[in-house]
Amino acid sequence: MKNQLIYSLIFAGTLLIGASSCKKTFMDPAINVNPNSSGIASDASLLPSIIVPVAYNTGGSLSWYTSMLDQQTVGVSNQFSNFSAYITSTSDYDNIWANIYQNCLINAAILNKQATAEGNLYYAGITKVLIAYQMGLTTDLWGDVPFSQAFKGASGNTTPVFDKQQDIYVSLFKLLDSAKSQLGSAKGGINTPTTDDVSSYHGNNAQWLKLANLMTARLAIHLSKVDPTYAQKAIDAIAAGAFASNADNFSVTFGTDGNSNNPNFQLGSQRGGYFSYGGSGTLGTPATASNYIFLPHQMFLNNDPRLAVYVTAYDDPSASAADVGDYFGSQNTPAASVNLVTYAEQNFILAEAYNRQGNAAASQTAYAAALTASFNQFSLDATAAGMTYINANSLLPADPTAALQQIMTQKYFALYLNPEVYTDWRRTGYPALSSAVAGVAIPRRFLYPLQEYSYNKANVPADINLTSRVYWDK
Amino acid sequence: MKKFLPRKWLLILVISPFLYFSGYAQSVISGKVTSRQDKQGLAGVTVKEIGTPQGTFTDANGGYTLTASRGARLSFSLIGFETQVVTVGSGKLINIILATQSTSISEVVVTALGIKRERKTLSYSVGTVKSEQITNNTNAFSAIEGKVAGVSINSSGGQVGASSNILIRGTTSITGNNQALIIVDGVPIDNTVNVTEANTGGAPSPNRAIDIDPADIDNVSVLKGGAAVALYGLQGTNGVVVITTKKGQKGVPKVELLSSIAFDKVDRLPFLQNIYAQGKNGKFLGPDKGQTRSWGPKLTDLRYNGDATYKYDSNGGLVLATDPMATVKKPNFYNNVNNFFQTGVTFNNNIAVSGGGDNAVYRVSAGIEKQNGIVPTTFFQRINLKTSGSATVAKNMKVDGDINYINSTGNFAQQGSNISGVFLPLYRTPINFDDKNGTTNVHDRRAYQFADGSQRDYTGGHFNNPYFALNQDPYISEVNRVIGDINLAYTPLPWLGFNYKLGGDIYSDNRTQKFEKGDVSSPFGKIISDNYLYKIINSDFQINLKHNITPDVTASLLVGAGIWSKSYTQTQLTGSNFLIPNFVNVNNSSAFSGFTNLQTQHRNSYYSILNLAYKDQLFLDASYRVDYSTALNPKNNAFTNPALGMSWIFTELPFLKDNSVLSFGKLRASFATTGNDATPYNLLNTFNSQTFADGLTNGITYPFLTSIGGFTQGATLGNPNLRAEKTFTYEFGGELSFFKDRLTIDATYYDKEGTSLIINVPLTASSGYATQTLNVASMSNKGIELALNIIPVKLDGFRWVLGGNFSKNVNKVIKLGVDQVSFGGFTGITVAAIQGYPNQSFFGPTFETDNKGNQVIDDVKTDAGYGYPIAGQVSKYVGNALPKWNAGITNTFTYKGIRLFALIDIRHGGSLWNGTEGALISYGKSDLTLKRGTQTVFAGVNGHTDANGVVVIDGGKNTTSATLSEGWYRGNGGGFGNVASQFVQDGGWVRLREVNLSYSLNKNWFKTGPVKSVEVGAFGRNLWLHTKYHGQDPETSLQGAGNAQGLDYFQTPGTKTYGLNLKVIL
Repeated sequence: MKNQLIYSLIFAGTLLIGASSCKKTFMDPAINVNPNSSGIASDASLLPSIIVPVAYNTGGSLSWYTSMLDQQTVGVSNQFSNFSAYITSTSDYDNIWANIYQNCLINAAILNKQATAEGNLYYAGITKVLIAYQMGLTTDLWGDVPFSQAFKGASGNTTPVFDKQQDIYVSLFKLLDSAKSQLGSAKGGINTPTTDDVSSYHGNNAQWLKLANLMTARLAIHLSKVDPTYAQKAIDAIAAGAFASNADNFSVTFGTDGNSNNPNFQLGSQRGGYFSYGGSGTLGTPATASNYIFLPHQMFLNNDPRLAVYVTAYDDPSASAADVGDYFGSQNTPAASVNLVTYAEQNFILAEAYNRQGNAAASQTAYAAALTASFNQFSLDATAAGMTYINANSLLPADPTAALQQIMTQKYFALYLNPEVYTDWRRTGYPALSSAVAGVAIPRRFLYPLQEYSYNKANVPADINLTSRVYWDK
Repeated sequence: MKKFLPRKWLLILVISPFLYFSGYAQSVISGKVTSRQDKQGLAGVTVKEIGTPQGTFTDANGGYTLTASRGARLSFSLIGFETQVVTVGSGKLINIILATQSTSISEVVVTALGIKRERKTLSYSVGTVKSEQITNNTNAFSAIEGKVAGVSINSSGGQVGASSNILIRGTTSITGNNQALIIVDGVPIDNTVNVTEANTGGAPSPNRAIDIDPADIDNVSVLKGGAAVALYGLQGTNGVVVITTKKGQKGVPKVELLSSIAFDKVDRLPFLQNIYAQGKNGKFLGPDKGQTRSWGPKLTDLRYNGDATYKYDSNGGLVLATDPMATVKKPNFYNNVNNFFQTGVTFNNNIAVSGGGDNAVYRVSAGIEKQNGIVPTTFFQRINLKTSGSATVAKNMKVDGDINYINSTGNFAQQGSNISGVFLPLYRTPINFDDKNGTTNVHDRRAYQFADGSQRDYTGGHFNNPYFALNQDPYISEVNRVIGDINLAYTPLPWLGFNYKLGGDIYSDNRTQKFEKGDVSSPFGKIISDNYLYKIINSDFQINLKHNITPDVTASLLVGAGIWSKSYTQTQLTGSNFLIPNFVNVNNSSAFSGFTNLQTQHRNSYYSILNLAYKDQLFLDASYRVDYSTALNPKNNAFTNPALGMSWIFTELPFLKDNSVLSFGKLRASFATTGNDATPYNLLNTFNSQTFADGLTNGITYPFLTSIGGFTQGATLGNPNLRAEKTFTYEFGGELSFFKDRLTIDATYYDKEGTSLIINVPLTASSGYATQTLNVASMSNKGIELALNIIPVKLDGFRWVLGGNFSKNVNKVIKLGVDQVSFGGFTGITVAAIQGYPNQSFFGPTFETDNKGNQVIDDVKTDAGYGYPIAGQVSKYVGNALPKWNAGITNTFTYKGIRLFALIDIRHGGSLWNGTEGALISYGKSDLTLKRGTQTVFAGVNGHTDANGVVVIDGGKNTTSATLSEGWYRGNGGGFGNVASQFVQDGGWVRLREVNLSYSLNKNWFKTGPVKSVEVGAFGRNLWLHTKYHGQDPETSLQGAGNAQGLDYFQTPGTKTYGLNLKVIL
């Protein structure tokens, strides 16, 4: 009996000691660290997750929805046809909103902070330019939006306030100034982008610096109507060193592999029939068909050779009148590029800025350069049709208002499918569009998404409808 | 005994309630207590001197020593055995043989942690199923179906290896696991349904409890309430199914042979029309036209054109009888659906050898089951090798263990929402097209392939020919599994025992899904190689103490500590775009993708349970368990499960005792808090390499341009403060037995309320995240359970036992924090939790109604929908998948060697979304579309949608007649319109679940040979089914076991089974 008791205690003791000594490793918190995903992400792994979404959003949803409003395209079925008829509800914007904030800019906010802390200045600078680009588009479409408190879910703020648009613009100018000083420094830090910069700049900080200047000019020209001093700011920003030719254009090229296709190609193949680039009816005839589109008809009337680049089937003799121009030409290939900012746009900005300052001569020079740059972009500047068009349209009228109309209208033709033309139309009223729905005004903004009303209602600006104007659209 | 008292004080310090004083000795009595049944020594028998505080317990071998004077009366009692009382005479050796008790009241049941208790002492309800009720089923779960109150089991369909969903007292969690925990011989085993492709399509997978051979099961205990499961801590809150396997018994070697053959026939099929042929708007459009629907003319209006070159049918193409090309030959009606199914055959053999001596017993068994399904080419095969043994290795030390190796293989057919699957194309096949092309062998390529190698189907490449799917897209799964345990019991003193148990469940599940070139969803060919490796290790150390505190109060205390660890690895590799035809292999691929998914979780726990018994009348259980889980924040990772239960046998009161009418009566009550763990990796934010999609297109999957990787912040915001889900349960019940067990009633009421339930709460994207995992929801389950057992006839040799069980559970999602959380489904309909409604509700768009629930019928003449109901704009609650109540009625007749058993299984309520019918209506295949072209006046009130999209009710009953046109059926009147809710139907049933007839041959016939006994039997399953459901057997689930129950969309129909079995004992 004595032995048994001793054995018992040894038996129990050994197990208890064993249990307590292994408890520490057995309950190691490291066990709950997800092995399938990473707690950190390198600069080089985050940068593509910003550039690709920026290009995909701009060339995809933002382009599709704005181009239906500014009448470069038309929706033919499902939610797109409703949108073209200005039938839209807050839930239609949920995906776009999530793509911008939660799939794209959260990565930018993280990379900006991380690269700045690491002293990787070029990464930080590039990221700031991308934030300015994407946030600029966002505030232009929605006006007041979350920015100063956005992306702060991890630090406990899941209901960010909506900043005033004029404040966001001030922040973006500051952000771009900071980007310029980082991109302009002689050394970009220990790590600098290489192939992970999937844009046309491929990690070249000098190119990004040019874009930073041009982005300042783009944002400044938006404000030039509410505050004329911004025209000079745009001119100064470009003078500080922007694009010199189409070789400087900011674009992202997509791929032929099934995982990397261009957004327009994907829309055509996965949502065939939702969308039309050419509309129906006979080109050049007055608007009678329900899916008549302003842009291809005007370009057809103007004998604009770029139309053949934009909409392949427009002169296809075998195409029936009903589906003329259903195919978006060069973009309807899996590996097509999305052009984000072009040399043509820079010259149109200059032309507008000088026009607003009453400097007709400088405006004329910039305008002519813009027209040539646009044709050059599509290798049409040396063709007979191209030269004919340029010659016929290169002179601005003496009347400043008429001159502005021509500048903005030609910018509209030059920046095909670019969300920027919807902003331009709202700022200037050019080109002169008439509503696609009798008695209903063309929307002047996007609605806030349903998710903000559902999960952040207290902060969403009240009394917003499709014709509520953003700050610079007064 | 006195001599070692001082040492004992060491332990007494720790276990002060167990103060033990030995009596004043007269003389030392010793002896051994053995069991009458197997002659083995019985450990833990309470030996008490009546009328004194004196007493002891037998040791591991049944031995005892006690001091008592002559004339003292000693009682020997052990749960499950008849108590014996003897008077001490002159002898000092008293050996006792105890006989097992036979009444159900004193039945021994296995409770939490394998602790055996007498049913009458329990403060909670436990369901039990014995081995003889379990055989004749492939899946042990199917054997429990209908037999235990409070347990709802739903098989996901009639395909071999189909998974079963097992819910005990409703759903406890919202988005977490709701499946009961499965314990085999003390080891928690994995019961996951591993998935390779989306579970709305793809091949179905079994839940892994299928690997347990029912022939090896001795008994099953179902622990339902909080107090019953509290000792399992964070893993038991959904209820626990405790399986105890058969063990060897002392004696000469016994050989048991079980053999059976069963035949499966397809049961109910969707209701199809057999009149109209393929086409559109009444015009015939054949397979060469790519028209998938059956909106053509009547088949009888068509004639073959005699074109011998027509490749779809050797009789030629079809034209209208009036067509100049028409011959006089009338078209064949091809009943593709009926011609498709085969008779499934299952062979099942199990052989077991058992025996043992004084110090060791063993049982070795081997079983093989091969099941060929009703779907050609599908099969499931399970090979089981099992050894169990028990040995007394030293004085007071016993070791026992089990090891079970399982090899399960199967070929399952793709089903569900899948154009490459079997049933979606099969049920939609028009009656003018022969999927088999006149072939008789299921492997004949001429059914599904043209001479040029392209696929022969009626859709022009939209759907697979079902025979292409079966032959060219096989899905093979092979599981190799080992479940084992070893238990070391050391009982140094009659009142003190130590127990150490180590168990494990380790298996690999290797799957290959092939798609040959020419498959409609993977035209260039694809192969998915998907490999799982699971590992569960469980270890428990326990100290058992027993003590008689006073002559009337006995106590036992168990304290224990346990660790549990689970890990799995999934590695999936997909190869596609084959270079060479007819070589479906990763090595033949020109494009690859893949991923790994690893998960590890550990739990550490301490627990104790105290049982107090006052006389045989009042029992109290108090248990406490603390679990530490790695899935929770290390600073706050403890979860406590307290439980308290009491039961009172009031028939022990003097004035009720030995009553001939009410022979037994008991009241019980229990309270417990239990928990459900969080899943791992929800505390921190991480970066993933994933897809960027925009909701309209597939978007970009990294690596971009095949080489540039991109990591992005995960969409779910981690929650470092995540806690376990907490559920508080109380349960009251009673048991009454009349006329010496001729009538017994067991009734239970329970109420359990879960709080801090975990759901992913949506966030606005401007926070940077899409959702956050929070403990915000709460849900309640209230219910009653009744079990009734009547022996109406008990004559010499003849016995009729009528059993019944009834259970009703009312579930309500009390708080959700968000509008609804969807578990799965389709865009039109989802299975969801909605605040204020029962869990697992259907959420979908309905027809617009007025505030009285009348449909609004469009009254604007110029509208396209004039006279038709208006589709609603918003989604709503439209029904619930959980049954309202379940009942089972059993009848057992025994007469000499004959036993007849029948089980009627009733499920009342519990809706299903009949998506199969919705789709078949749209395709013009449902029998409901026979009304095509007729006029109807939709019941409802007049109204319309105004220019702003607002519904205006004009009032007045609709009198406008509308045509039941193809357009209506393909639009809002069918499954692809905007109103999915109209296909939510009552899924209740009454069915003859089981019939078993067995006959034990007269033992006198085998007196001389080696055979000891022979039993032959016949059995049937699902022989009769009554349901209002307009479709196949409503016992089905598209997404298998899991939270998205109640979806019917082209899965395998249910079966009827007939079989014969033979049991021989040598």
